[in-house]
Amino acid sequence: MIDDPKFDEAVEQAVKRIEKRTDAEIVVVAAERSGHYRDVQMWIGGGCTLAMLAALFYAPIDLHPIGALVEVAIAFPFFSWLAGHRAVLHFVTRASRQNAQVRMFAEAEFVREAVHGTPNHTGVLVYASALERRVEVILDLGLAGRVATGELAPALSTLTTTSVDAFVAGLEGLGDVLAAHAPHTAESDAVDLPDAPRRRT
Amino acid sequence: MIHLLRDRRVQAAMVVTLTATLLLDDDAWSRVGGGQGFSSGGGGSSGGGGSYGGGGGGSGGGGDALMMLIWLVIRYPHIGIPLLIVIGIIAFLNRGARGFQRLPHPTSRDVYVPPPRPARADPTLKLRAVDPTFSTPVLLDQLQVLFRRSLEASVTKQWAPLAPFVGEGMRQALEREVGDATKIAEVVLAAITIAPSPRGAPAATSGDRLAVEFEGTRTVTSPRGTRHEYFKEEWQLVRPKGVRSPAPDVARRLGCPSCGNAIETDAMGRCRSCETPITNGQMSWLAVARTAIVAPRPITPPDVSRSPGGEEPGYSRPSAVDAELGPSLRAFQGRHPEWNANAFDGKVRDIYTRLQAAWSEGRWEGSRPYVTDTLFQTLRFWMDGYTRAGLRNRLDDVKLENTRIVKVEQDAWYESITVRIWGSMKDSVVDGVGNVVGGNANVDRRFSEYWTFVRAAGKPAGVKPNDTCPSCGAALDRVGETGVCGYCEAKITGGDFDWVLSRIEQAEVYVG
Ligand SMILES: [Zn+2]
Ligand SMILES: [Zn+2]
Repeated sequence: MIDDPKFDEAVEQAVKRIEKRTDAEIVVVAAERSGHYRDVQMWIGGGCTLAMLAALFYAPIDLHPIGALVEVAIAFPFFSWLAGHRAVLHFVTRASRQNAQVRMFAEAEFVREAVHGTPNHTGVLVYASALERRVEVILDLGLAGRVATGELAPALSTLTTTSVDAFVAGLEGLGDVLAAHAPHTAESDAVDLPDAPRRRT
Repeated sequence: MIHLLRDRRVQAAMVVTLTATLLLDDDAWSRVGGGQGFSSGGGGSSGGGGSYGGGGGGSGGGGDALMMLIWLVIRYPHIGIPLLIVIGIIAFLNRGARGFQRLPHPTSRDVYVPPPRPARADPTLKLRAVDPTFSTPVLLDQLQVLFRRSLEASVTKQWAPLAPFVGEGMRQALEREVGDATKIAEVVLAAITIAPSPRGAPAATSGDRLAVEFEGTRTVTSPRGTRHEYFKEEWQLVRPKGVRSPAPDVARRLGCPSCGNAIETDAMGRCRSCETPITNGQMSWLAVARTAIVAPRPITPPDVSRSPGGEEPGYSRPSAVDAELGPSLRAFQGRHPEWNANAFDGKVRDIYTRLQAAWSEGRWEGSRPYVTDTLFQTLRFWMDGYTRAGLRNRLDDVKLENTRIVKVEQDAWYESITVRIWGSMKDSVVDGVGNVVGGNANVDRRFSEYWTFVRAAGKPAGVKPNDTCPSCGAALDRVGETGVCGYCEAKITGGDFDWVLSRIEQAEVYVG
């Protein structure tokens, strides 16, 4: 989704529309991945290398010790590199770990983007991570006190990374809930903050 | 299977694979990431040690990957040594990949993201990295004071208060330069530029260095008469590694770099207040060399030419909005709930009007309460040029069309907000009797500039009225050339009480 050339423009326009209805200050961060998952890569690389080595031993050839060395030297980096692909990592890594990493990175972005700096604490971070195919939403405390999480849940469940349209529709849904509890006032127009999504690669 | 495990080739291969896996990432020791199938191995050292132990031998509770590698190098050098090389190469290629992912500069499509500032061309970036108390505006103020007082001292030979800042060779060079002059006055600095590298022979130092260009005009009195001259010269300053910049007030009055008191030293070159040796640049920037960029020459009248008016090239350029504007402006608002965007915009517009009026009337002192010392001097240099030539730069129909905040920054001592402005005016040069000799008095000139306002950090950033002293509230009729209010004696142009304008850059050249 975040690789779609329409993404930046569509999200920026959606955020502008939403901020006309609500005082919430929406910050969208689009990350390629939340963490490097290098250990997973290494385990897959090591496992495949070992399996291939075992296959070579059973093969009807006379394997010289140097052959084993060559196999490791070539196969290990190759399989590790292959395992670094987003789709591979998404399918082999446990969902709980992916959730935890996305949450952790979203929390870091919340501070890095100074979402908590908004007057009256009406900042909202929408963090989309492509590898994990997850979206994490963090409301600053001023908003969290006004919106029950139960009321937010249906909107959040539609906020997915399947396509740009689905994501934008999810944002609009989130915007509707926010607009109901933190309607727009002229005060929030004083400062013109950029609305384009922030990219992390 | 058991049979296979006894095969030395298999032992070796397993050791190789596991060692490589374990050495390459420390996550593998502590966290079980991916496939469940590996969870027993992921238990850490015991897993690795198990397979080693199965090999039947040696130094007991192995498991430490490094020990295993050493053992391998000794026992099977034909495998161990190449393995060591391969691991070395892979580890090298993967360096820096640990921990948090490195996040590059984000980009955004609605704004023109300025090209990254070339770090080598901006020497202050390097200083900022090693010196947590470094601030460019403070440094420029300090350099300005140092330059003026050095010129005075080169006539009076009273070097004692400048001892920590001007080296012996530099003093002699300055005294030679002024020759038999009896007085140097009206020093107006048009520009102080920190250069990426010195033009003269680089001064020897193992610490930080600074090459600074001073350009301006001065009046020199000597037994042969009085002359107004233009100068442009470069100074080189050095300081030992680890020296930090002084606080702004100490920097501006050139106080003791150790304790901040006025400089009085004993015969050993130690400060009388804090007994720290200071006279050899141990604690501060020390000027060590100067190079004339152009030989001082008589001032020439300003270049006045007719202009067609109309839109300047920078006017319709996209705004160079800082890529970090979102977070930095939100963070600023969080730090300063008392700051109000509309009030700030009103202040920007009002200062714009006041500055253009002061300029047009040839009464630049009217701008004094709103600009920093350095900017005041810089603009005065141009104004004096007109006045000396009997001309006036007349501005009519001054309008401010639009403003936009493009950058918010915070350094060790200051917070700054850069605003892009779009304006228009009829801009002409008139002579003493009002005849238009340059510019264009009939057609609007439309232009765009980036104005940077600064405010001392750690103080409330609320916006105060422009027509009264931000310190005492009295009228601004007694603000002297140094920016000190005549009623309360407070220096109001240092950003301690209100926002002051510190920089004006043309849209054609602004790079963020
Ligand atoms: Zn001292
Ligand atoms: Zn005052």
